[in-house]
Amino acid sequence: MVSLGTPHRTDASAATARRGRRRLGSLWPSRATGYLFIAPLVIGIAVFQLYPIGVTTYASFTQWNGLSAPVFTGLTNYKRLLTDDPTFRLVLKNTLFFMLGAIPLTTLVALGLALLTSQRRRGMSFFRMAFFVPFVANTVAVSFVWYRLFGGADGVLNNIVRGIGIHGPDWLVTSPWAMIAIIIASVWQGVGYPMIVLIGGLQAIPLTVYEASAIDGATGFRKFRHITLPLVTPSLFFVVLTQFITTFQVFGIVYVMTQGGPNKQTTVYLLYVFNTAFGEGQVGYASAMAWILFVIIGFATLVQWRLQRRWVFYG
Amino acid sequence: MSTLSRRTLLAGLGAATGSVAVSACLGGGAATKNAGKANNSKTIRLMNWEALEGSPYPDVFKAFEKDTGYKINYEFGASGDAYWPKTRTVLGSNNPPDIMRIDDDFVAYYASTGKLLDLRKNISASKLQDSDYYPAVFNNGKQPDGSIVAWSLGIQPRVIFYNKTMFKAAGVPLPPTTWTSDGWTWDDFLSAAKKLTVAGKRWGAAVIDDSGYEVVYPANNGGQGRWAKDGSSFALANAPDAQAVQWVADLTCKEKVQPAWSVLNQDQRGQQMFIAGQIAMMERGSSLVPFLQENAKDFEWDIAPIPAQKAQHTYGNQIDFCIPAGAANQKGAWKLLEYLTTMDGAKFFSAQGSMVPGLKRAAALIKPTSKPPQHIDLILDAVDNAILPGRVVQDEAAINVYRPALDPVKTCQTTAAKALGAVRKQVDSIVAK
Repeated sequence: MVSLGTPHRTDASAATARRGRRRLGSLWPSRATGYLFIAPLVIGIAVFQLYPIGVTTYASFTQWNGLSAPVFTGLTNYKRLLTDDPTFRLVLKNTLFFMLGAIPLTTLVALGLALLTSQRRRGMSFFRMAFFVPFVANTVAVSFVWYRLFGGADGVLNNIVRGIGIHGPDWLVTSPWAMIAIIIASVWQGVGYPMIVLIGGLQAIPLTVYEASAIDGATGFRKFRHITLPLVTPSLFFVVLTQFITTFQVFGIVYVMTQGGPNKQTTVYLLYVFNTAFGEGQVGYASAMAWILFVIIGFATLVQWRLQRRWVFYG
Repeated sequence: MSTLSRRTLLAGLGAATGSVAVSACLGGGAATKNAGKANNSKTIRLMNWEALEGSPYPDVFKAFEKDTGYKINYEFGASGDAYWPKTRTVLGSNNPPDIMRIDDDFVAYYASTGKLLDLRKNISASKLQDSDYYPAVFNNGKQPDGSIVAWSLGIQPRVIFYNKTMFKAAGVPLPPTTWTSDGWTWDDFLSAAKKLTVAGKRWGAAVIDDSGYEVVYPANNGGQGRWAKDGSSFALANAPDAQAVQWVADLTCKEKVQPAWSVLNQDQRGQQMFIAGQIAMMERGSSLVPFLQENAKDFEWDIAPIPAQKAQHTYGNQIDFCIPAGAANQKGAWKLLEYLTTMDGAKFFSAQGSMVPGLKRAAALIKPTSKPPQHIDLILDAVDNAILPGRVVQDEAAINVYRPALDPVKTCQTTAAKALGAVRKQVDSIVAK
């Protein structure tokens, strides 16, 4: 009698099970291969991101000079940052100044260049490449070129404008000219990437929409105002969001051109973090600053994400 | 066969990362892994901020390697201010070099962290006598507790480099050739600078781009320089010191004999302008001698003393090296350091002329040659008149506050007294730590 509760294992079912095991067995090497493929990335993230995040989190609650053992001090660093560090407030102001200059300017210039170079005309690909090259150029090299261009009373730029009777400012050693110089250099270097993103956005707009508007009698600016601009807002949103994140973390260009001077008027957030950690040896305090930066960027990104409903049109 | 799920893998990685992070934190990045281990390696890792080419080191290293059988692995750390964070990260790591250059301004700080080897035993075992060395050099690395954590190869005293051809052409009396104040006071210096200045074409002087002016001019004006001699307070904000800073800034702002700060602020611009015949006199350390020998070919140049006011001191950069407490080959490192600071090695530095070796016998070898400057031996007098300024532990943190505050002084927007007075309290609180 065959028990209803216990399936009787026939030779056929045993063979199927063996095949199944063989399938599982053959699955294991493929799974291992998969893990091996992702291992470099996982290890990279663990070593270069998770590990520093762990250390920074712990360090932000300590007094630590990076040399001796850290001393746990609780929230002291955060309290000092938010209530008792005038330089921190100055640095936030400087960073905001930089962002208010760099983000709108970069976005507008990128949009203008995208409109120009997305036209289907001969040689446009050359211009696209030319505008994109500074973005992939080495920041130190770019910054050094601009440092020489602005370089003081006898810099290249001032020598040029002197030719037309204008006495240029001492760009890199007086305020606010030093920050303006940094913004100009930053826009020049950074405009390539948003331009490419916006070109993508522009080219995704169906031609039929333009054709329909033309039939309705729409002219150039009207087309731009009522078709191009609304339909490119998803790309614009992406550009503004990424600009916000990157400009808040500007470092190299400032480090080379002014090192935060004159009188800390161009000391931006990350430069202050760097100087505090590796110059003054307040690694714990600088770690707290890094976490505050994370919170600011996170919060601002969230706000922008929410606000996009009001101006981003996904068609 | 055991299976490895994604969750297990990620959890394992997370746990491993966490433990590494925590253990690293608890260890405080301690550089003690290698310390105390017997190491008979014949290789010495040396880190410096100077590129080997053009420095005085290749010949002396070659001689050392030949004499001792050691091999030196020369590591270029970083140049300029970038060497400061490099120093911190290297000393905080578990694998510091065996011997490394250290900025003399920051020796006191690193001494306080315990990351530098106390060299007293080595100095004693090598029977090095303080009477054989210039006091400013021998005592440079000595800390208040008596420990000696850095050892200086020598000193690069500041002097005035001047374009002799330009002086002659302008009919301006040449500066003195010995360390004297006769005819060489601040007024004399300014008077010469005014006569040598041609508006829009050339400037009489460049002093402000050498940060050593913060010590030299205040000290000669009856002040103390950056810090009080005992390292207890911020002296630069005191009246005689601030007046001296103002005098240097006024060479640009009031007297118009010095290029604008926006020009001199550019890396090495002052010396490039000197070579181009656009600056007649500039204050620099003796390290500039080989550079000018190589590049200033179109005119005759020489060196002169620092101009006097109430005193006539100078201040020299020390060529400090230290042996990290966590260095693997401390024995080899000291062997090299001893070689560089005794006759066998020090004589090489005398021949090059960029610095005065701390060992007096080696320094005495510095003599005028067919190469300029004609009065190279003046740098020996300069060492005799070099002051050893006060040191503070939190040097860099304090500098980061007061030096940016001097920017508007250099650009003629405010006075030194106001700018330094405004940060005095903040700097004093850092110095007091």
